[in-house]
Amino acid sequence: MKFVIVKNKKQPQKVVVLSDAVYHSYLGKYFLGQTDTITFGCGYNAWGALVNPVDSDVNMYLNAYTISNFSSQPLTAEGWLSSVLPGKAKVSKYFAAGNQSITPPPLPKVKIEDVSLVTKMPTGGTYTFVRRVEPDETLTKHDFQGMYIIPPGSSFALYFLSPGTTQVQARVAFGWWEERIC
Amino acid sequence: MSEKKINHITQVVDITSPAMNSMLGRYFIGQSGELNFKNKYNAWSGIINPENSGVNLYFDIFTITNFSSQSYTSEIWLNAKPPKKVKISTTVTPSNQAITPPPKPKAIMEYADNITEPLIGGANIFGRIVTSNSTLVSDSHKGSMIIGPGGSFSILLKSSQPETIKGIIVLTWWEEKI
Repeated sequence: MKFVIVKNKKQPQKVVVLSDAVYHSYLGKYFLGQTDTITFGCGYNAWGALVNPVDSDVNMYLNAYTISNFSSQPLTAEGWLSSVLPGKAKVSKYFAAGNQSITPPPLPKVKIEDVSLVTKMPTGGTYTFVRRVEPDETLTKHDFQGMYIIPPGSSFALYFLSPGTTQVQARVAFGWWEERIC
Repeated sequence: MSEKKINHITQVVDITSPAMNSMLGRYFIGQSGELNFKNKYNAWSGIINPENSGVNLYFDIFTITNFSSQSYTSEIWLNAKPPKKVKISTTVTPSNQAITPPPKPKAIMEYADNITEPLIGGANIFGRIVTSNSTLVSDSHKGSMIIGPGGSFSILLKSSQPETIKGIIVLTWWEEKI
């Protein structure tokens, strides 16, 4: 393509477009992490979630989630927003800031939590979406670009239904950024 | 639309960060050697940013190939220490082949297979199941993972099968002076 015939004022400028997630990583505000392996089945359910603590002073913007299904059964995962989640949650230590060039590396305010083998369903909030997860596969959902915005005291949870009489294992990962509430 | 109105619209060419860095000769593609692993014997490959490199690494894409008929698990790690015995990958090249002499990356790609010791340090931030006879291609991370000097981005391959599995890892990244 030749631009010589295009009038000078119409010569388009070149710009580098950064996604919001990449921009927030440059700022040290983008984080990635996963739950521990969660176990469910035989009538017991489980969940993995991003939980924004009441006193965090940040809003959480979800960019991505993935679900690894280590079983040979298809699974059903329910997306619950801002619900009260059942069971005694375990806080994950598998997380890091995307930007590791900042010393010391920034730490997130939001926690990754999980619970295995529960019978109670989440209460309150909204059962927002459902995903069927194929056997022996990682389902990936990327580039929400902050569509889900979770304030302090609220959560984004993936609740797994027991697939029947077998015990199964899965793992959930998230990518998100945090913005201070003015 | 009138000519006057059209004149108010600015046209811009939308260039992604990976494309811009490729034009500048700072974008690199590295492939590991063949990786053999099985139950309790893992395989690993990663890019290491040397302590004195003077650059940050901006990670873009990984691909993980599974040549076997069994699926396996991969773990993505930030800043893990490399295993004791590693080989250095020679199949590393700039994506921009139009520059002479070809630019050389500061990052070093390493790989190791049949390793029995656990990875030390850093964080295992997510994982992927790699289905049989397939190549898993990650989304473009577009530099949202940034590795400083002394750090690393790496992938650990694990299988619960007794038979040896063959895999290959490809990593792409760009480098910017600090």
